[in-house]
Amino acid sequence: MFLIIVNLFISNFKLFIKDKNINFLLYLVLFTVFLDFSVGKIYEGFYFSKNSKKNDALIHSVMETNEDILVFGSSRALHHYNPRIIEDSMGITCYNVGSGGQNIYYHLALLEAALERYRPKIVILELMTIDFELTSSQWETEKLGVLLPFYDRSKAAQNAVLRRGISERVKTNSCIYPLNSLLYTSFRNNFLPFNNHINGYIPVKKVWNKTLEKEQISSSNVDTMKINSLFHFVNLCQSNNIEIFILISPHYSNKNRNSRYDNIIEQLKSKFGVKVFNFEDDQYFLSKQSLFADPVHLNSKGADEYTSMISNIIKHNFKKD
Amino acid sequence: MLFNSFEFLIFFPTVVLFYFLLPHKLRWLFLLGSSYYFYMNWKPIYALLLFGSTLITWGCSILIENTNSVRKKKILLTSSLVINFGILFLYKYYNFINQSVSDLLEISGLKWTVPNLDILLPVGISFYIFQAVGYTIDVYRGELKAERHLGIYALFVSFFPQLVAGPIERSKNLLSQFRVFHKFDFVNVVAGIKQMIWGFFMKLVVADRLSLLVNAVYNNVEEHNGTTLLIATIFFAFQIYCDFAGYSNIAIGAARMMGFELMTNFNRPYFSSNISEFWQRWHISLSTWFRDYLYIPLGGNRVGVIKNYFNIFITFLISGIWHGANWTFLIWGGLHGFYNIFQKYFGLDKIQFKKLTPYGIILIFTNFLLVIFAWIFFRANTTSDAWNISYKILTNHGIPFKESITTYIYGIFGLTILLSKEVFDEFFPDKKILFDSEKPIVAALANACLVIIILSIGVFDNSQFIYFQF
Repeated sequence: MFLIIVNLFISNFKLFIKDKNINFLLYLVLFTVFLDFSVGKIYEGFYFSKNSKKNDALIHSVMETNEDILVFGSSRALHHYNPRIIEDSMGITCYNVGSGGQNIYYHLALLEAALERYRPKIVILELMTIDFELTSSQWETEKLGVLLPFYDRSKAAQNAVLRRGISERVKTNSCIYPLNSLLYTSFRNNFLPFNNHINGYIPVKKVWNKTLEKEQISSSNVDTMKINSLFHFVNLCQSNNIEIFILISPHYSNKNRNSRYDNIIEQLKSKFGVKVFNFEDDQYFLSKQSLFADPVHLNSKGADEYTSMISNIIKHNFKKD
Repeated sequence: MLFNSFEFLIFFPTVVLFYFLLPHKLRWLFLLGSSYYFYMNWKPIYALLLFGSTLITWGCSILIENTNSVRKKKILLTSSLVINFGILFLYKYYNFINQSVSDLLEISGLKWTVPNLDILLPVGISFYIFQAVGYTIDVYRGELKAERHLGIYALFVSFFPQLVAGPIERSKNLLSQFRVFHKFDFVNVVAGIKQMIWGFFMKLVVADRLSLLVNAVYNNVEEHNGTTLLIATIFFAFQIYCDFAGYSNIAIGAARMMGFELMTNFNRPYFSSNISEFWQRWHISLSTWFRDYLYIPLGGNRVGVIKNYFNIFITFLISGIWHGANWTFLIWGGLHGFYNIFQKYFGLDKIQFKKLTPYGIILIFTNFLLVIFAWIFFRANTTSDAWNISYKILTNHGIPFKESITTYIYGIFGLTILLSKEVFDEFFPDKKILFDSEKPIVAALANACLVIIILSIGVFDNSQFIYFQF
């Protein structure tokens, strides 16, 4: 009886695997898994190669920072803080880990990633309303996808990526998915390296020469999750004896300015005793087109002047102990 | 729920698995529940609209069948049409018409102060209403028996693969399929998987990648020169094709895996030699809907030349406004109507050349130019933007926008694969190579490579399919 069953199974199995369609499905799964693994590993080697690490500001920001001063923030940090000027003024090393469109979740992840390796002396956080206000879409957490390549290399990056949704845990089982759309970046870093940044800082060369349209300032509610992350960011600095400076860099215009920062600044000061410097409507920069690339971003000239200004302030406020 | 979401990757295999595990008599109920769950993922309350439209068309159709009075039949049909199109009008066109009237009166110095409605357009409303209305007309014409089983009929209207963006199915094709027992069949599963992979490739690799440049350019027309606008317009032609045909492929493939045959919705439209052929290949389910339920009832081509031209123009105008409540869509529809009439008048729609000859290629290219000119109006945010873009494309050239080099690289790579397959399918339909190879190992390898390309350069930001907004 047993032999009959075995024989039946074998003959059916033979028929089963001879079926073209079943064959297709088996091959499809095998090839997909094999290609995902092998191509993914090649991408990974390529993305994290020596040359790539040398040229890519993001890889440095997440995995390689060892500088004394780190500058955090969105595009306004990225384009406003020239580390060379800070280094010259302070006599210690500095790196700008700012990234366009990112908010406090990203800044916090980068700080935690840095703390996995070392303790910087000073942290500068360029504060924006998107760091503590609710926004209508989920694009802010979507943008944390830039940390996907580091999912298996940094616990902080992993936690940030998981803010995008629990499904990331499943998706990251693919070897290629975390490196999605990075093929060109890897190729460029390896074969056509070009440094468009100075220790992470990207200068903007253009001068703004248009008339200011009425700024649309939408009112937004406070996002408690972001506030918690912001407080956690400050807490982490203070508990690691890192001097933290929170700055708001200049805007071209103070028309339509509302007091969205006032409350949060007050809380940061009273709760944590943090040094907050608000240059949002600094008279020197206000309405000077030659210093701006657009109404919310300084150009390289404006950035250099602004960095010189804040370097002095930080220098005077930094307790060297 | 979006096809290109992680939720769908869980939802769909689960539905397929349970569908085949369940006894036949329970399958309709399971599919109906799944379809409503699928739909309610957007805005649960709008499921009431879906159900309302279902109930009205179902009830009216039975009453139409039950009565012998022609007058009563007409009243019932009219009631069903008025209520369904009324819902569509309220949600889709009310604000547009209100605003247009207000603007018009303002020009004459008058004031119109009826407020706009603060409502969101229910996803897929134009699709399911057209499907349900089509069914009622079929019953009215006596071409189909009214479906007595409310559950089966509700499933026909809400069948999740094609619920939100078509194909707009015909009751004659789909309704009876819900009564058939579908055995699990590897042939269907393989065909479905292949079509779904290709659909995901079209959507994630081509459409969503190209959309990055298209949106950046079309939302800032003033900032860009004619060269960039021309590139963005060509990209948009492929973006909208891959977005919509991609959706259709996923829908048809998903239904196929469960044993259902949905109608073909796209047939390589950019290889058409004239506009009339384009509309036989583009959004086939909609164009045949308009042909059967609007153009032919208007008299079609069984009338005088002028009336025929009028019928063509009206059909295309309505097709344009079906796509959205904006003058841009109306102009787009009008342009296609004009193209059709022009080609018909000069007999250009009758010219036949083998496509792989210089003349054939010139015809395809000319037709493509006409189509992309019309796409400018379809995509532009306003009519003045559209004119501005057209003017700049003709006059103002310079260095193309190069901010996002990856969009060009990945987009053109995706387009190359797309066009290679389409050229091959169009001109050598009998040769089965790569994705459709007779050898399972070759077909599997080709499809696995497509999956790897999707994972490598697909855009995974859960972008909405463009046609959802219609």
